[in-house]
Amino acid sequence: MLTIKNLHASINGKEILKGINLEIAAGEVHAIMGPNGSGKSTLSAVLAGKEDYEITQGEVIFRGKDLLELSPEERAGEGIFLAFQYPVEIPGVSMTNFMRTAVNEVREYRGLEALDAKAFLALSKEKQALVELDKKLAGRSVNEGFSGGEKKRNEIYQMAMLNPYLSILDETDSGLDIDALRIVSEGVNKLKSAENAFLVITHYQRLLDYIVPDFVHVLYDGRIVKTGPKELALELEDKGYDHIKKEVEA
Amino acid sequence: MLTETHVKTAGWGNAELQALRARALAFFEEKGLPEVKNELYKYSNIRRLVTENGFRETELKTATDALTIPQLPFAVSGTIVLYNGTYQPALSVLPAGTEVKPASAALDGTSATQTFALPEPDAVKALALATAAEGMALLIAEDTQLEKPLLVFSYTDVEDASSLASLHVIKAGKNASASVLMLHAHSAGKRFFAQQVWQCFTGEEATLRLYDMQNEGPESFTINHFSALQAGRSTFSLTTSATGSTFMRNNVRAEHAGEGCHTELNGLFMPSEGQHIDNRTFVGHMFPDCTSDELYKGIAAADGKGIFNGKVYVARDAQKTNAYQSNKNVLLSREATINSKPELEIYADDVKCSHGSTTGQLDEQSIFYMQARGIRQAEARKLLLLAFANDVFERIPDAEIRAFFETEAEQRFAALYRDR
Repeated sequence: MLTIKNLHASINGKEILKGINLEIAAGEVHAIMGPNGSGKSTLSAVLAGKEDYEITQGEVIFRGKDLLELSPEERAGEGIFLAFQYPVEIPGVSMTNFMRTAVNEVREYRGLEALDAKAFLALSKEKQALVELDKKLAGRSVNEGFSGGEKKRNEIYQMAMLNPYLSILDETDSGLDIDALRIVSEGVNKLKSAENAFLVITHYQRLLDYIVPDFVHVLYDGRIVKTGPKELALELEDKGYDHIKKEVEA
Repeated sequence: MLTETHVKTAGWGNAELQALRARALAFFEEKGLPEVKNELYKYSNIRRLVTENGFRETELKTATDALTIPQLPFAVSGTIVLYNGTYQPALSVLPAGTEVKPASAALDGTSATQTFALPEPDAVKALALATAAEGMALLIAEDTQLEKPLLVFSYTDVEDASSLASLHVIKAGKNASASVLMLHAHSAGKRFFAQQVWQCFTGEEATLRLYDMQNEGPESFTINHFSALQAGRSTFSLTTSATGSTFMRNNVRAEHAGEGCHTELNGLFMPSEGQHIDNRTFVGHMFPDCTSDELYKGIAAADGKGIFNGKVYVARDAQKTNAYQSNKNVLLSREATINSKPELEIYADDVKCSHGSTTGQLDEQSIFYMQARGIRQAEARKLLLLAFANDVFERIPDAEIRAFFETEAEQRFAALYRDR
């Protein structure tokens, strides 16, 4: 589904990603772990198409298409979804209006007919239930006045609404208590299928108790320095990132 | 050419009005059209505007028997048609409880002096007062409640580079309530310099809401003078949505003549390529226990220029005044300009007054967030602009007019990003 080859990216002339290689197939869950500043969030932003980054080398092929040639909205249309670490508050734009616009823009991109108000509401209701999102939030502005947990549940709700092939969860666990973590994870697990894939970016092992990865990658200084099975996450938790740093530097 | 030596005063109205007009002409002759060194017109060079376009007084047609009146998506209580500033009874339909008379019928010596007394040395308004043709007086009888908006449709049909001015009165009687929607149209390809003076009087406990949809074509160079004199416990509101015209200036003045009044001024101004939209407002708190709330929002695109200059004046006796003023602007390009000049002048000590002014750009984080959800960038920008403008729409209590203004703004925003 996704092939990243020797990806280099920099911001303001500073290289952050220094040759990422990664292969994700449908039905898989990949976790990327790493210390602060290793490039985790940069990788997710680059995949989603944030313009601040300059791609200096490498390629990203997503379902047969050159992802780096596409605008962020085209990537969403192709089936990339980024759950933001810090979901953006948009005062004055209602959740409902935002989501209906998004769903219908993506449907148009995929050559599907727009959902009418009734069909949209039915779908929305079903997906809100998935992450136990309070109905009253639909009437509010996007993320405005949402608690930390509500914001993250809202991200998963949006994911469910847009039905992506590849979902990137950027530190979705940060700022979540155990209950919210469980709800968010259960939502993700219900959405998992043989057709889609997940790239879970996290600092801690905790989230991976709930969303069990097939592969764990360790990102350090802009490169994937180690890949292993889910047990690698436990090892990291046990020994810390310093251990990896020493291994790499040795 | 429209210069200090050529204009003629209009010969209508009672002796007091004529004397006032003669004084206005004398003032205009002394000062001439303002240039940018005049503080009131600091950002709008009227002299250059008139000179460059060669605006001049021409013979105006004052009657027409056929006009296409815009179809609105909602019912109105009545329609008033103005043609080159002249009331057209045959094309108008008046709701019960209202009548239209010549403007002079509603201007006795006192009211004329009160409202026409030049509060500030404004030569442009002096010119308008001196030369204005007699327009209509719309009289809304005591206790009349118009459930639906009343449409005032103003059509300009002149030869190229004409100057025209007209003076109208709207008088809402005691405890009357009305919303007036103003629409404008003009013949294509003929530039005109139009000044419309709207003198409003709200009786005790009356409510008068004016909505002016300023979406004329580039031929329009327009200066509006809206004035309201409010009797005790009355409400006056004015909402302008300025998207059209090459040049637009709104001179707005509301003054309280009794206790417990409320004034609301709402403006959306959206100058784009080659456009200049200037708002000058004045709210005069002269009596205790009055409130005013003012919100102007500017969106400047391409090389558009937008201006907000608002003054809130609180007299010594106007204790317990609550006055709010806010101006927020968005710049959509490097070449766009907004000038904002809020002013407070307070002589009472027991008041709550605030004003604020901000100018920024659309939030790129929000745009990326929406794009990441599949929303095209142009659509995302449109949604943000609508959200920005929404604060103004929210203040429109008439649901149908609110929707009408929203649709106009939406079309404007869509046009801004078309083919980009």
